[in-house]
Amino acid sequence: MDNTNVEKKSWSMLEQEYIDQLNHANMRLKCAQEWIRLYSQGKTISEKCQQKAIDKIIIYGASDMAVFLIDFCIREGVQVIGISDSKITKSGMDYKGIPFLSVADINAVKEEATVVITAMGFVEEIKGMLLKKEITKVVSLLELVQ
Amino acid sequence: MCGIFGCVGKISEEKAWECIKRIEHRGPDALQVKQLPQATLAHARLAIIDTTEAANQPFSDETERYWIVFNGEIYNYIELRKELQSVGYSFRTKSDTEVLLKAYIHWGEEAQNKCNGMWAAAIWDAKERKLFLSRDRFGIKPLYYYEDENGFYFGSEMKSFFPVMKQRNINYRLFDKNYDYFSFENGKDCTIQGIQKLLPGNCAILLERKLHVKKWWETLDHLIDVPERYEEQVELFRELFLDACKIRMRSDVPLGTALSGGVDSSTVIGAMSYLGKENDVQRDWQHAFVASMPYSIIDETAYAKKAAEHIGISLTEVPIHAHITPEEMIKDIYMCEDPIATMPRVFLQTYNAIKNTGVSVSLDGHGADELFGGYVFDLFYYGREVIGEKDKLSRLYKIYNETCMSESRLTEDEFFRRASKSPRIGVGVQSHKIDAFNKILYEETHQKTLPTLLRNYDRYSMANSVEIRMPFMDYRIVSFAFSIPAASKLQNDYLKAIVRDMAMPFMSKEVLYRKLKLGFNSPLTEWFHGELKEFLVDTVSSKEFYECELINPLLAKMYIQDFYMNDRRDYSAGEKVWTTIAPYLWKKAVIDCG
Repeated sequence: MDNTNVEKKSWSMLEQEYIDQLNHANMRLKCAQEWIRLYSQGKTISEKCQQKAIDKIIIYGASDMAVFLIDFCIREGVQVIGISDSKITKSGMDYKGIPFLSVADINAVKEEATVVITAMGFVEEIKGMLLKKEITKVVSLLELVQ
Repeated sequence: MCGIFGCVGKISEEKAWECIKRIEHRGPDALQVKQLPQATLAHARLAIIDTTEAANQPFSDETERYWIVFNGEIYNYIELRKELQSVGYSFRTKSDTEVLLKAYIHWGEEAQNKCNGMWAAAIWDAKERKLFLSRDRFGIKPLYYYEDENGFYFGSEMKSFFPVMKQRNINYRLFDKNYDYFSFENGKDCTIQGIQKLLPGNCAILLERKLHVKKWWETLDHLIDVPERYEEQVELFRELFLDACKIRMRSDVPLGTALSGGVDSSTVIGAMSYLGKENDVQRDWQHAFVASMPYSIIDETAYAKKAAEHIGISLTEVPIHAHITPEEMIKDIYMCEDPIATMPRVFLQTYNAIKNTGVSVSLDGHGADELFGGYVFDLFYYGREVIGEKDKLSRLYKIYNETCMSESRLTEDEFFRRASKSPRIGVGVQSHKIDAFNKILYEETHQKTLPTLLRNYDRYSMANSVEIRMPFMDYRIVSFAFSIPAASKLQNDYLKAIVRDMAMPFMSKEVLYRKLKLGFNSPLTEWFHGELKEFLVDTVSSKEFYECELINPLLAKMYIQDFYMNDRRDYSAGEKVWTTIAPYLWKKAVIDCG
């Protein structure tokens, strides 16, 4: 690599990083707005799940939105059967009694549960990755609350 | 070295005693409270220079117009005393406290520029009803203040205000999404709402309940002319460093050192040995201690032994362990007061062992990494600034891979990628006098890493009534460090090259020219797999943890799941687990308990 190429490559990486950050912030804002709208209309996550024929869910991601979603689900009696993320490669521990699952573990329960992606960025990439593992019942958090 | 507390306004003597007792660990040798019209001063003394009762504080001049409480040391007090005597001042003690008070009476605020040392001082002018507060150039000694309807309070630690505070609230603004552990010292706001700190190199006057703060020191205004030839720079540095050590060896009690096995502390003990036979220094200085953790990859005992052997002194190995109760863990964090990026036990145990052998002063190597470029992460920041210069980047990459732990080594492409993604450090430093690398180090020294480390080391040592003296933080050395170019700090592909070359006459080559940098730290990974596993698992499964608003409990638990289920053994894995849970432990220790 010569100097100009190093510089060009670095600037374009930085630019992409800023764009990603902006997209994540946008997504977060949208999710929060939709969630507030849902509850101000007197509706609940539980009703949304019923409406979308979702019986059990698996949370994917560990954003603070995931923390809220888990708390709402527990309160409203929505069955959360697992929590997954790219960071989880082996099962073993749990969060509030909900077991952590690796992506491979999702496969075993993919027929009965819908994966809700709570990440605020790279949602399509995560969907694509899950699809490759033949996990097809997948929605984003935004799609769930909309 | 001591603890100070005071109030301008209304406070009962009983309450003032409660406040000073909160920081009694800083100075268990004498505790005193003095009530004056409109002001109350309190002091916890660790007696180091002139250990007689006559030098106890609060201390006044002969007229009792001026009263001082002071935490720290003025190392050039002998020279200042002579200067003051030559213009007619007389002294009734041999203390630096009396020198500082009379220097202020004679020179006013200008006295700060005449002092070489570390301090947090408060001087009450009973005639003018005026309080003068001063903090040393780099913030080696802490000084906080707090105000309520009854008065204005100042103190050495935030906990000195707890008895007068109706409630302790978290300053959430400091815990925003992007906070890091090195951001809390960069501003006057503190982690507890309402408490503020006087920033390094600042002084303040409180008059009629109005506080006027002023910056009295700026390093960039004190750069010096240095020789162009590297060899001459090394000579000049050596001269400054030896004098900095010499005046820090003035003490009426024995001296010791916390030896890490790295370049900086070895350089300090080497200089102490070199100077140890001179007349006007403490001769009882041969007390070296090393934190021994043979079970950990970050143990540096072998190198500390080599440094001690080189100068012919014995080394006390302090066995470090984490067999502590949850209550002891919370107490450790309470003593530290702010969330910190590592578990404080290793440091607290080391200084505790030093104190237990009867040593109350430790000369340590702090400051050299920030001043002379000793951290590998600075290479990413510098790489970011020279991103278009392939040759420079390749050289930085070479230094990086030779210096870091094997688990952190990178390919050249990955190094370039990380450098290009690094935050820009030092770009806000408005000076044409220093180069890009020095701007990064300026920010590390004055705003980020060093202020945080100085605060932490003040707490680690003072929790055990030990004073740390830091020769590298002599203001003449700081001015020198920012007056030499980056090339002098990165000579021959070594980080801190000029420190190593300067120390050659008094320390072993094997210790000085070792490239691998480990750093004095807690063996968190080993502890979380061993004696702290139960504590960690219990902590992150508690209701309080799930409800703590300062953390993302799900993410924390995910890291811990990864740590245990994948049997992570690398150093950074344990560090990540700690930093994820530390804000919760801090809240429990400082806000909920305390």
